[in-house]
Amino acid sequence: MLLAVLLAGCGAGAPPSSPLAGAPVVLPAGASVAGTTAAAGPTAAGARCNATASLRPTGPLPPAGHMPAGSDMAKIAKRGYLIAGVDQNTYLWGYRDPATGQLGGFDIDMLREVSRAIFGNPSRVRFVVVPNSQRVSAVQSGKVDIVAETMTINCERKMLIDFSTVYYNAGQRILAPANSAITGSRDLGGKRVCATAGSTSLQNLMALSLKPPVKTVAVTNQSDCLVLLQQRQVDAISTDDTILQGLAAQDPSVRLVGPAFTREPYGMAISKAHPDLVAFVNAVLARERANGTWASIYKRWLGRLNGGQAPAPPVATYTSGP
Amino acid sequence: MVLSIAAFGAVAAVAVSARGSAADRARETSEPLLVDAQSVYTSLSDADSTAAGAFLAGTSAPRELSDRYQTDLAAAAGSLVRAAQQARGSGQLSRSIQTLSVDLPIYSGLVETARANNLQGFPVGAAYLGEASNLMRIALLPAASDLYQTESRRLRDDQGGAAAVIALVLAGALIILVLAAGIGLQRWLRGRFNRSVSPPLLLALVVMVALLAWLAVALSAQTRNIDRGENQGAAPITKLTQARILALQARADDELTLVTRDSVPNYQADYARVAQQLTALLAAPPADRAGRSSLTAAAAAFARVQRVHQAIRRDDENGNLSAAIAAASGPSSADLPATATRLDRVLLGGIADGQGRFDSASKGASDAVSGLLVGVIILSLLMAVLVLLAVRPRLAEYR
Repeated sequence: MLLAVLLAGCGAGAPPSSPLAGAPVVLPAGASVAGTTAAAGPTAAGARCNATASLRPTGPLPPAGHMPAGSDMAKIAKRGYLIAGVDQNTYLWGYRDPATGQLGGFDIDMLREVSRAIFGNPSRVRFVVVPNSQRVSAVQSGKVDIVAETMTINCERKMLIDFSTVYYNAGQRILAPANSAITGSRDLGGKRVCATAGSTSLQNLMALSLKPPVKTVAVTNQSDCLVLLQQRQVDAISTDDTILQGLAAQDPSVRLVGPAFTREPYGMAISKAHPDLVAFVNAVLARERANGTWASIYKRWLGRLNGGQAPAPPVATYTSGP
Repeated sequence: MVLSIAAFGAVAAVAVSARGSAADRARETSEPLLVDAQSVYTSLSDADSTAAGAFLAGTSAPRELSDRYQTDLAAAAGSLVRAAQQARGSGQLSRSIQTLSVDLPIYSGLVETARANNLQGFPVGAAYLGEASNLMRIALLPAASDLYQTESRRLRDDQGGAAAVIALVLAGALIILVLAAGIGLQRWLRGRFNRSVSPPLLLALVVMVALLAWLAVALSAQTRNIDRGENQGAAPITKLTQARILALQARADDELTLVTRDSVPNYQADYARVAQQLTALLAAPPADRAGRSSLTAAAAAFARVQRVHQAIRRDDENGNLSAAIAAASGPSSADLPATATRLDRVLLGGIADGQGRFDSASKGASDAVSGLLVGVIILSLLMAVLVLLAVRPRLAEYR
């Protein structure tokens, strides 16, 4: 590698200058330096609503295997499996363990609990990879029954699809090398900061209105940000603390810094055409909160980030009725 | 007359030796270099696919995969060194070789980082492999392709032997001149001495015609052999090599789709493009009958790969990831590794056949003109002596 750098530095045909002082620029596929322009995406227009309030469960959970006739759950039970949209690259949330080949993570377990409630079996789920940018359309089109993918409940999305009650409260933070001078969002001015393309994280960085502006680098997958940080092609990564914790768990030389500067309540996304399922999932979540399932799932995936302890689960808020 | 014969002899000798050395250069230098350039290209394509396959199999990856990856890198590096030694003076070649030399160690570093992270169960490993493959596709493979194209052109130039063709034209012009001079001399002798037939001169003209016939036959045999080498050897080799690289790329696309959990379907878009090119390449009728059987066999083998591909995609899209990964990395003869390897073997076999035909044609081209150079010189000298013999008594008579 050193030799390569030296060769590149001396050679007449060396590639154009890069952050690595003469070494060729290597970027993950699909990465782009977005510069200081705001990424396209949903705007804050019409963003006033009680976003996190969801449908109140209609009663106690029906026993597994006995879904109310004609309900959305009965159709799923008849099909034999739940179709769930997930991400498979977000460590600790939705990822494939390379050793076992199995999917795991907090989001995955949330979906397995839904499967358990419908079928009495947590593994009757067909997991489908849904890119972040297609989460809303996958739910709308009926390609998937439900999405659990570190997805923030907000009013723009709520106009198009429905959400369960909040199952996790995240917030945008910063991941930087342990020896970095960056200690909070205020230090990001003029720095190269990585986030996924089309994400609200990018917009939130712009909304900080720092001077000089943040130089954003947009990539396809969260993991690509960690690659760029490890190669020091970016100075920091900024996105939901959940995702950052997953990245930090893969590299002892980086750390989360500064307080959260946004609120990102996560919910499972379900089509507006399936209110039965929304209310049912909310009942599942209510049971998880009450019987300690939520806490044990937290400990399984996030416990070691929090001294082995689980905080109190997020409190559900309900709308008055459909 | 004597002078024009001497000039003819010299020009013909130069032409013959230029043709001969061009053919030899093609066989001894350009052709091995082309093989090296081809080895860089295919080894790198194979490394890309093998690294992804090993990654996909994870901790259960068979030992052969890592061996094969190491062998690929060693082969690419070795061929690159030989290509670099011959690349003096060619700007395009030097640029390609520099890109390859600089990026190859970076590539292998990324693959090792990917592997180390993967073994610890970290998904960032997949991101490193994606970056490695990206480097392979945007820098290494294009440079390897350039290297291959440049060497192909060089081989064609050597085979064409442009200088030799010019020399042949000159030789033809001189032949006409010598014939004209011979007829003129006969006429002069008749007018001057009223003698029409001079046996040595007649003999000289016969030798001349015989030499011309020999030249024509030998050079056309050589050209035929060079053409045969091109049509039955070099052309199928180029085509099958191209097919092999496309096939390896298609396989890597399927593997990387599963490795990186391709959330934006880049690799599948690439697969569609590559599969279309490969199908078209294998379906296009060959320039020559030789090699047709390889193409037919390869098309059938690729059809089987396509069926495995469709099964993998179906499983993956239906959320049956484990089945998709099993089909893409499993040991069964119906899985992707075995079907893709069968296709690779068919293509490699076709390339070896083409190589054999190319070598035999090259040898034929050399044999066709063997002895011609010595023959031209000796017969030219003989003609000069005969002409002198024909003229001397007449000159003595005159005196």
